[in-house]
Amino acid sequence: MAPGAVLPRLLGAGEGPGVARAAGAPPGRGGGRGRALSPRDAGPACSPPLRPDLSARILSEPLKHADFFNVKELFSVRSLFNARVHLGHKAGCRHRFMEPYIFGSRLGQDIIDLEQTATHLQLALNFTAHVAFRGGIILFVSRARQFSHLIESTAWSCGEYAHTRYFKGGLLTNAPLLLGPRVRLPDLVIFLHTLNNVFEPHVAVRDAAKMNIPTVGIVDTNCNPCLITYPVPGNDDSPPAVQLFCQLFHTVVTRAKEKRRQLEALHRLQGAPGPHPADPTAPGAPSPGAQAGLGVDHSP
Amino acid sequence: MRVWFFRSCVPRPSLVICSSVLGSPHVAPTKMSRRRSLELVISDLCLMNSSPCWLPQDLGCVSLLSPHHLPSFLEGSGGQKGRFRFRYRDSAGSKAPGMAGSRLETVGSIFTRTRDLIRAGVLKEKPLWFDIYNAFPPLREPVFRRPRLRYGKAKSPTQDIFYHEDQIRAKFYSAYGSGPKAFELFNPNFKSTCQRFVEKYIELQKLGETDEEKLFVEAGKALLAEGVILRRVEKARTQQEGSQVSQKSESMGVESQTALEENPPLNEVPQAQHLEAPGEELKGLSPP
Repeated sequence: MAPGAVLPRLLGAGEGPGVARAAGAPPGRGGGRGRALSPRDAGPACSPPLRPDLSARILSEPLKHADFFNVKELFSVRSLFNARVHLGHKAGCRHRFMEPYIFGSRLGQDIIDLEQTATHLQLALNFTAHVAFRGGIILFVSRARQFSHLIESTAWSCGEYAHTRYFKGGLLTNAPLLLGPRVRLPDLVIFLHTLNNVFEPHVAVRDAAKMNIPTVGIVDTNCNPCLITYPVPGNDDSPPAVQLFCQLFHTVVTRAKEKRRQLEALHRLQGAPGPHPADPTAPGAPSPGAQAGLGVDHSP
Repeated sequence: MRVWFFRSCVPRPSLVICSSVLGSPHVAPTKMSRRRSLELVISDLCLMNSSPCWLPQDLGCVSLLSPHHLPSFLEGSGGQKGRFRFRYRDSAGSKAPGMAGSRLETVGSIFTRTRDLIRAGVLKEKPLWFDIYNAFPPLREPVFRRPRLRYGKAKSPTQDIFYHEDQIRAKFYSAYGSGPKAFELFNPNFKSTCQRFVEKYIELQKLGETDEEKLFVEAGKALLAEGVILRRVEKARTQQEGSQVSQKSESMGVESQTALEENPPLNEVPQAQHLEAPGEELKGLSPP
């Protein structure tokens, strides 16, 4: 990872007032430092970096479990239903590539299949958790003005970044010019709304695919899920649905970072590499050995 | 093993295609598989050093090409009017030190492109997400697909959702309109007058009654006993509504007719049945 990246500029470039730049560094990172400093460099103030073999073990350990962060317990089909995630647009707005995810059409309104949504959401949350665990930068993108404050505050509170304003062309593809010479691009882009205000696919979907950045996206029945790495078919227009998704992503990112801190502290306390360390502080301790995983056996 | 490169007409570093080929040497004839093998093949190169080097040995990529493959690629690419885009990159445009990349979002998924770049030795460091994607791949590979229109009689396979209770609801709405009580859509456990009517109807049906007219009347009477007054919509009024411009009433009228007529194809989807009661209220769709 390239150090010294000027991360707040990633948010502020080309934007008007009101983006998170005015409020300084998000909590959980620099904590009180000025904008000029990268929030991520503030970590080592407390502890020296781990030995490479220990950090390699920390990185490889979560990948062996199917659901290391236990994201399945965070939601259920019933909770998705209560949040109105299954409601799609009218049949005339339907995108052709969303048809596999649609359960049926009730009096002209598409109903999204929540069983599939649950599977996709579990994969997406799991991926997000692993990226956050490895210290990846997550960017929340949306162009719906109704939820821009909610998304920005969600990103702020979990120590990640958001971009809910006009997306300047070249922000990802021409970053050295717009943001400065050595900028670290996000490692994951989460789309709460895949379409922009004129109902066209958001430019960042294509740009993230161009820059080989994985994406997680809530795709409604009028969206194109092709270029999104981990699409989650669901309603992106009702406030309860968007609030549920924001809360899920927030929980997952926080949980992953917390676990990372715990594992690092554990390894530091243990000192020498002992036998396989069981994680006693895991909120939902995964059973050792292989669990039957959902997406593990698929080959790309 | 051969390396092919082309000179562009302007005096700049030449375009280079370097490739590595996996799998069987047999070239499948279809468009999609040709694109797939091409996707395995093209890596976009970002030159690290400042001097514009365009000789194969300077590019640092491994190239294996069987001559059997390339001509078909060339023909395919030439004939298809630039669908396969060849990218030229020089060091001045590099994004960040140590970052190579492939910007061809229409060619494969990010994973296949990154994997091929790593295997070719162009991309030195594995990106952060690579191992995670490897361990937990998505259900569908995120490959670009061009949305095509449906022509002629081709229709989308999405089914309509109908329940047996819809017939009862259709009769209720045509007789009584939307009922005396307003619909409270924010309440997830809301039961409209129509829903209560339908429940009474089904109860009476379970008791053994078979005649629809009788059941209808009996259910109405049962609701009356509970204190719900149902006002019949007059026939003249329904005719007026039918002739009005308002689309909702027309479509509802049409819907109720179609629901009544669709007796044979009314097979409810099995999973839908247990979601019927709360789903009815939550959608709040039923137009007056």
